[in-house]
Amino acid sequence: MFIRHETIEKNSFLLLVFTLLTISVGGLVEIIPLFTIETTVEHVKGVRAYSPLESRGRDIYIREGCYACHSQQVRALRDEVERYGHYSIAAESMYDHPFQWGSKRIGPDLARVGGKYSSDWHYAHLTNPQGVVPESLMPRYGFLAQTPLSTTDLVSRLQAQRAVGVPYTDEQIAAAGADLKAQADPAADNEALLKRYPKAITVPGDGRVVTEMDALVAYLQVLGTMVDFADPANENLRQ
Amino acid sequence: MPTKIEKDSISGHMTTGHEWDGLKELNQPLPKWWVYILYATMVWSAVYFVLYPSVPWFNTYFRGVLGYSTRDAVNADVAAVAKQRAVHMDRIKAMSYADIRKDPQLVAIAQTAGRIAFAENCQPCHGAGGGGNPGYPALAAGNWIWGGTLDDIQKTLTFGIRSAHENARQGPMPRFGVDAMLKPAEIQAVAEYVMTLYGTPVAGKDTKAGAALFVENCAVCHGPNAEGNRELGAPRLASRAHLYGSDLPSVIAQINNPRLGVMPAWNVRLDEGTIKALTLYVHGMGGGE
Repeated sequence: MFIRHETIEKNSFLLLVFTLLTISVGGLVEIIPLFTIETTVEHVKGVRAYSPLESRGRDIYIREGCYACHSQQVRALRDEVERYGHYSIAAESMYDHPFQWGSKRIGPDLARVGGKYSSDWHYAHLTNPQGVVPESLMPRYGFLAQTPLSTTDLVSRLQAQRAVGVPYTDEQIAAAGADLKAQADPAADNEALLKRYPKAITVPGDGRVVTEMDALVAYLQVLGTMVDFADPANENLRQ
Repeated sequence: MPTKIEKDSISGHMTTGHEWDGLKELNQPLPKWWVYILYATMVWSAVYFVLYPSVPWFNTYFRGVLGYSTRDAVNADVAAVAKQRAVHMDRIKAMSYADIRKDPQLVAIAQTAGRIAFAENCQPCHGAGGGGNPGYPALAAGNWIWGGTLDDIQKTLTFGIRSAHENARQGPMPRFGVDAMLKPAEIQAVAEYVMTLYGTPVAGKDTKAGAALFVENCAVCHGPNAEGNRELGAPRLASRAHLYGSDLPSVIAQINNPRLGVMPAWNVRLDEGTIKALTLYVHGMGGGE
């Protein structure tokens, strides 16, 4: 019962059936085992949803097309690990919809930029990159500091993220507006913010109007800082 | 138009049975070299499947008989290079600066390691060659706020300034204007007095009142002669090299609502040997004490 290839090629119905069969085998082998596990992403201690301000900063990051020049993935290669720090792991972008890994590096990788420079530096650098790094090719984003951050749809945005699997609690969504303001004002009491979003960095905003720049800096300052790689619990991360 | 499949008398190949205006299509087999390469790739894929991580396998995956893992590979790479460097870096880590300086080879290695670490981590704020930027001290110029000895520099590098680290250097300055500790006119007077300290007095002003206010409010940290206090991170004011500008509006702004610069703690990113190499490099930029 051997069907000649010529016979299949000459019969469109047979060709269709066999093509479907072949593709199904490949698909089933790859997909069925995934039904037996809860998630393909390892759970890593420390990874949390973005705070409201960081999340809005991420929106600004995407709107301004930062990903066109900056990647956010430290590859598992020695030179990258030596320059940027621990290689990126999947869990670090599990709440990114969509992730910002990227592949274009006109500027440096930003996956571990959080805490590398002071928040003041980020304000100065975003306003006039050549002012601090003369050889930089980056455009100026000073207008972000003049643009008040739109927060009218803040709750809807967080709910939308919850709908795709980001574990925002009701409490976090209810307090979104307050948390956003607290993170942009160094004089504010940020105890509740830190409880909901550990390690959130308060950015030196002016305390009155929250600008898009405040949000972007808060986002940049959290990048790559959630997982503590010095913690022995994270020693055997394996994928 | 379909015709009979027959042997072509000239080429010796079979025809496909297709004919257009008397032209018959030959059914030539694929070139042998092409077919063999196709078979070779099939064999290669089978071998690769066995050797390397390939198919998912219930709650895990097939790891391959070689046990290859990207993460293990990069960890091994990093460890191998660290081991090579350890020959010198461990000595830099263990030895005192005085002893390191006696060994020209170690000094050269520390300079190179320091230069690389500086370019990646420090240059964005402190500028190439330590030239400084507004708000970020010129390391090559030597106007140290927290001290310019090797030990001072190492401590600043390790724990940072107003960083999140518990051992960070903390230099507070009250917000004299914002918190209404001084009236605007008094701030103006103090600022005008401070400007006389580096030789650019505001013309025609009597600075006696400002001097009195300085003694009362500022001298406790910045010193009676505005020479600064490195223990507290209070900068020397009797110098044109003010971190946030030495003109009148800048000085007033700094008294009114001080900008307090932050430097990250580098012990989270750099190991101790690298920090010591960086200390030597920064110290050798021209401002070391």
